[in-house]
Amino acid sequence: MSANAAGLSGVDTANRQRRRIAPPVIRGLLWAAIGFLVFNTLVSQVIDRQPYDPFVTRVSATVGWAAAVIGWLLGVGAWEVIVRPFFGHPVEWDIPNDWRRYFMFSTDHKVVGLQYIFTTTGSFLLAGLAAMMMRMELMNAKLWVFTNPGAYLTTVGIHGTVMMFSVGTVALVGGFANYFIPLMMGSNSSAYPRMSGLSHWLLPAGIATVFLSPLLGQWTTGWRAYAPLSGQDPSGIVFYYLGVFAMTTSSLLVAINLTATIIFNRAPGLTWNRLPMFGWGILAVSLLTIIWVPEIQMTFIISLLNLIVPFSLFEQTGSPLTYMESFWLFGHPEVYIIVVPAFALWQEIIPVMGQKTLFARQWGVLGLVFVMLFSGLVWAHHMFTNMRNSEMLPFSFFTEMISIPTGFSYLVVLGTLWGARLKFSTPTLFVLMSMFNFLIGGITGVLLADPVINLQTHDTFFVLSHFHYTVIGSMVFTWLAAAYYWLPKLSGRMYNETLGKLGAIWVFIAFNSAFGQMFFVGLRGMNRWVAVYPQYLQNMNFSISMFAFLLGLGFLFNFVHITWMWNKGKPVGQNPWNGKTLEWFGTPKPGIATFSPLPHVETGFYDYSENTPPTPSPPKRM
Amino acid sequence: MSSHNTYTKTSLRIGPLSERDLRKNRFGMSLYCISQAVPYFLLINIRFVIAGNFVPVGLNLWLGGIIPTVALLVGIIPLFTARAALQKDDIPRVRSHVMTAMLLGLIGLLSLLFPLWFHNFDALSPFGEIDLISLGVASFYTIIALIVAWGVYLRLGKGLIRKETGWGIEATIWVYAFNAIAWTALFFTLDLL
Amino acid sequence: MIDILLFAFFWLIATLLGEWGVHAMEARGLYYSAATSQALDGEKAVAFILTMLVPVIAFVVVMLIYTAIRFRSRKSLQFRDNKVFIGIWVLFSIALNILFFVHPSASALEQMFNNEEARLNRHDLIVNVTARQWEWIFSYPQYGIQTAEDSNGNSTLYLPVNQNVRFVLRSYDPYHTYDPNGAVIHDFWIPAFGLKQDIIPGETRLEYVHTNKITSYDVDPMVRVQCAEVCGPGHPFMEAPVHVVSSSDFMKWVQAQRKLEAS
Repeated sequence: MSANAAGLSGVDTANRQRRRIAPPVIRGLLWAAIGFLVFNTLVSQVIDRQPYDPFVTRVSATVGWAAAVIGWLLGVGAWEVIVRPFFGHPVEWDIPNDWRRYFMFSTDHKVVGLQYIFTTTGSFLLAGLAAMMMRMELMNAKLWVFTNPGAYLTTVGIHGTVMMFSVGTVALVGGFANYFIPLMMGSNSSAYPRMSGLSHWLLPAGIATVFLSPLLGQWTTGWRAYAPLSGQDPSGIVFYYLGVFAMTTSSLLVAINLTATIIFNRAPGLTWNRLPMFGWGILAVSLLTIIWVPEIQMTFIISLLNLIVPFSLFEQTGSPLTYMESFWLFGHPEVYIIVVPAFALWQEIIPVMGQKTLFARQWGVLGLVFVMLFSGLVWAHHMFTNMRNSEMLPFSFFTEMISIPTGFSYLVVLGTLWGARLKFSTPTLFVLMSMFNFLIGGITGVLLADPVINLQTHDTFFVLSHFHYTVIGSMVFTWLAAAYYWLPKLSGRMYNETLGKLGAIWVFIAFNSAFGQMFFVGLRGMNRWVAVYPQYLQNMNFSISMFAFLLGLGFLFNFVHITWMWNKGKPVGQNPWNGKTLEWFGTPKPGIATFSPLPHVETGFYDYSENTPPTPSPPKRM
Repeated sequence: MSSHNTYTKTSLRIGPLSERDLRKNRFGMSLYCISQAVPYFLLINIRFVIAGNFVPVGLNLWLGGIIPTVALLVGIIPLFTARAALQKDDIPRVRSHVMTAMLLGLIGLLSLLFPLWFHNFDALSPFGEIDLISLGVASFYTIIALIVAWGVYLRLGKGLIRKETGWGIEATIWVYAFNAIAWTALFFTLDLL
Repeated sequence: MIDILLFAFFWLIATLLGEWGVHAMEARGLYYSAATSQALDGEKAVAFILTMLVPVIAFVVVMLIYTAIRFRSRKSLQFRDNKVFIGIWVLFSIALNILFFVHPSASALEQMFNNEEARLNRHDLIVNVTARQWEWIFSYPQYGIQTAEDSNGNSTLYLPVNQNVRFVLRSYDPYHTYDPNGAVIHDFWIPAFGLKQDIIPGETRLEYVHTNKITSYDVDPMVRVQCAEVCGPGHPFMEAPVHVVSSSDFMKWVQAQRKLEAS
């Protein structure tokens, strides 16, 4: 089986170990820098030399970027793990079982999952810092933090892009699902481990690209990059398109990998009827990703060409609405890519915490699947202000209807909560808070689905608050719930219950105070994308900013707490919550097969009635 | 493996695939095809939104049109015969057929790149813009297909692909045929409809 | 059983409190400031939806709190199904959504479409609105006013009260017409008017309002034109004061504008 050895002896390994002291990311950075310099110079100075052009032009930055990303991927290990074997060379890639394995190409789904978790958390903090800068600016009605509104708008764009494509889309899918889906399926590996290893390393490349975009110039469009404006700005938008391309490719690869994992890597006896809810959620999300991510990638490639060739596809002489339509065709499914795993996790965590049989499971699955199916039918509600009147009604209809399958997730969780023996732990608290927040997000969503109301609230802080309720309020809160819930599995240690609850209440109060007020400031006439606004809104904005800083500190508190307990927490047993899904029955240690032999599933995972046998039978030889 | 190992080795299987793994790989390839078909749908959609049914008079139907379509479509055939030859473990024949497919693919690629470089109608027109983007997309996927075929060709030369381990050939068929069919559909809607 | 009764009690209390809250907000004005009949329609729609949804919100919130407090560390009740509850939930959520679609979504939209019906708008005041980066330009073709400006040369919008107004919206730069691709998307929004319309380069779009209240930017900062769609660094500065005045004051202003333009 390990044909990788292909004549490798221990001496070779030892030699390579000595040769490579620094982790391969260093080599990746070097190769990326070389790739960028060589190709950028080639394009801007040799092939496409124009008088008065700077050293880095839009075209040369694009080509140089492509070379840099390829260099980076090859450098972190794709060269040894993918390219050389592809052309018939033996694999020469050993992964040390120490910290260095997180800084190199890895095919172990647990390592990849942790890499994703670290990268996502890092980008969350950085993009959160951008949000703090925005809130700082908005404390005052006049410009005072940023020197010009363009710089503010660039910050808005970076914040939105990174939060969307490297936190919202990735945190639960790339991070926790990469780690836990194979475990929940009772498998030792994801379906396509090498692709999975590659997928992670695209993410930091994309994040870095977006954060470095100001080097090419401002871009004032925000994360939506609406077309005629995107063509007017200085060139920062080039790195937006490219960075998003890298990050979405990463998500696409994860989606393909996890779909196949769920379908093909299930342990014996894990039938579709017994598939964990998180599995259903990830399956639904992955299908959404597989369809819609290539759509936005093509749209952005066209926009990029529009900019660097240049064309005039989306200008006045072309069709500006076409860009918007293509964008939102992806843009709304994206929202469900973000929240569907959160819905699934509620239904995963609550039965365990309540030690209670999952209520109406089939409705929960139906809800997840129908949200997925409907999500492609609602996108144009982002365009009520610019579409034809006749198009409003159908999109309004589907937008309102999507709340029905969404409601099924509530049905399942509330039914499960009723009569449970609830363990009031931090994950429980976060899930309940997340459900409250999404309720607010959903209610305001119903208001926004009404075209007449939408025409007033669109492009104001009302909408801004609405989608932060769905993204931070539900997805990020659920992310923290999952982090606390699975911390014993990730680290073998337990967090501190008091500090955990404190963190939960802290972010809950800060979040609702900040974003709750935003609904009202929006109704009072606060529009989006402004660094400067009329004086009468200053008091409210000042108060929002204060709570926003509190929220930022609250997140920091939670992350510090989790990190601390990861290393110093009280050691805890195999299955502290008495969960029944398979991940609780293995010992996940990166670098080591979890299940040996594979478990054999004999009942569903959500039955807590007295006489249920423990889910996986004692290991049998297959 | 024990936890005392300081190193774990990345496993790369080139042994025979189990029936399940084979199905899994085919499923993965079909997901690749489904996801990568979406950009083509988008291109076709944008073409009709922006340029309607308009086809410029100066459009050369051969270069960047019929020649790559025929070359790519015909190129699928030798890949299938290569797979048939692999069943007989006739490696030299497999190689020569893969090489034939690669040559056809190369002809297709050159014929796509030529009009991309020397477009003989206004590029800055709604049709020209979408046509050039389409040619670029097709060239990109053709290059991917050629790289895949090339890797298989080299692995064949090293004796790494045999009758039992024939997935590489099948993967090439997937990628190559996807590109050929997607380009044909694009060409048909773009230049002929 | 006791749980159900207790829960129903709390649910009722929360619903009543919620309805009271919605009513209080409605009385104060959900849109804070509404100077057109369109804004009043919007407020009505918000009030209707919220009134209907308060029991739903109360149900979920009370349920979350109640279960979290009540069902702890006791022997759990195991059940996986409750056909009646699920049935009510599913049918009710479908019914509620269909209700919202019929009213207020479709009905209010119908109202809006009617307002835009050409035959009902023969005597509209027409205001041509040109959005450029980053300035609003208002002209009144019926009164021969090219650019409505105050004495400082800033764009300003005057409207008579109780009048149908048709805004004809275009995005281009009248000072740089040689650049057909210079225009970007703007959004014409007067917060107190309760609706907004994107202005797409290359398209002429219309917005209809019926003013119903004398008010102005001087007394209410929500009575201003504000670009709501990001249009570059100057986006926040793309605003103009609005004055809704009596028809006689409006005619006086028209005379003054004409004199200003003639000079």
